[in-house]
Amino acid sequence: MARELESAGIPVAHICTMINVSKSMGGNRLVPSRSVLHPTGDPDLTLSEEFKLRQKIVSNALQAIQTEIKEPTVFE
Amino acid sequence: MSDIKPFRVVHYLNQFYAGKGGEAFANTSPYKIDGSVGPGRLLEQTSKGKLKIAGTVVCGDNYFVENSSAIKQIIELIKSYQPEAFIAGPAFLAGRYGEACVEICCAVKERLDIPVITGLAPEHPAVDRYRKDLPILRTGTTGADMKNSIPRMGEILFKLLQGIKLSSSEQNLIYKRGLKKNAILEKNAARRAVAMLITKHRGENWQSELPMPKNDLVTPAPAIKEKSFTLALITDGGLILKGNPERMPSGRSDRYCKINIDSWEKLTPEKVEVNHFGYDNRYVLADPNRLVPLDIIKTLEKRGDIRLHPVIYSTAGAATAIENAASFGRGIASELKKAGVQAVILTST
Repeated sequence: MARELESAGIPVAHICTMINVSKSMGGNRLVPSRSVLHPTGDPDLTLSEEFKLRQKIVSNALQAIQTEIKEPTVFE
Repeated sequence: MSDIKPFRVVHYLNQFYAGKGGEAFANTSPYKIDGSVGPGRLLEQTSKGKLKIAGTVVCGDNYFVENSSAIKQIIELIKSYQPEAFIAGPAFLAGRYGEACVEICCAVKERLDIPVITGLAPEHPAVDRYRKDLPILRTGTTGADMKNSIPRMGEILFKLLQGIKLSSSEQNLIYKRGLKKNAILEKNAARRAVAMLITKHRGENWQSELPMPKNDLVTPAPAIKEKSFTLALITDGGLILKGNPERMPSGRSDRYCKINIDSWEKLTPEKVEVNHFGYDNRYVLADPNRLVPLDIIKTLEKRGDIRLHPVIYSTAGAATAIENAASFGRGIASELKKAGVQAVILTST
């Protein structure tokens, strides 16, 4: 999905765990997630810590969308 | 009594095929079991005394993809059995399990220098990336194919161990590795090239002798320069409306759905749930913002940083064919373009 959207000219921040898989499938703007089970959260943290973690991941994603790149790039 | 001593093989399985449990046990760290387990027993039986599973090494699917040290631990466990050959899976169309199988096979080949084999369905994304490096058996998409795949893997592994040439039907069961084979043709290259050119000039069917590899890289889309822009959220984690009114499948998806989030402040378990057979859903069910970070995005929207597209696009990525996923991508791209959406955050499990 990410590659088709990027091909259509829409920048995609792909938040995922298997960064290398995304990269090899044509993902360009890669943002490491917390876990396969909870990409943008972590049940082991307190609510406020978890919220901060999610803010950080989203901010990485927004950074990715707003950064000019030439090749697949990891934002973390 | 058989005239040959069976070869010592180590078998790699995920937590599911090792009988440990399903997604709830996917975080299990690597461990070993002496002898064969589950599919390994079938391998031994069908090999008729040619292969003996000295030990089975097991790791949870999530543990493997989330811990970079997993592979090292697994290799140590494999080494402890001093195997003469290694078999992983087969993993069919299972995403994380298949990745583990190919990566471990590569590491075993490199570190122990023994024959290895694994098995994957043609749609598995790892096939194209590893077919050149490893013998990967072509399997069906689900465990129902185990009874066919395992004996074939055993037979091929045995031949690799003995240095026996594979039959042409066996060669066809292994994904093409792109190796060159010398052959003598009647006409020399110059004659063939001219003949090809003439065929092409006449507008007839012609075929290159050198198929070009498919380039999977995608030119990155230009970055967003505006301070405030329109953003859409997409997930392949199987987010659905409570009660699944659209009857979305939990995997092998043939479509995506749209969830209207215009009036919501965040995702709540009262409004949405998850239908996806590929991971343990409980943490996302408890707080769906762990899958799609709507709570944060809404805060940013209130601050005026972004404008949010009113729907989340969702599908269940488990065991979904690449071509289907590509068609969802094209479908969503055309909807987003019409709606003036400029960028996407896509979350994957």
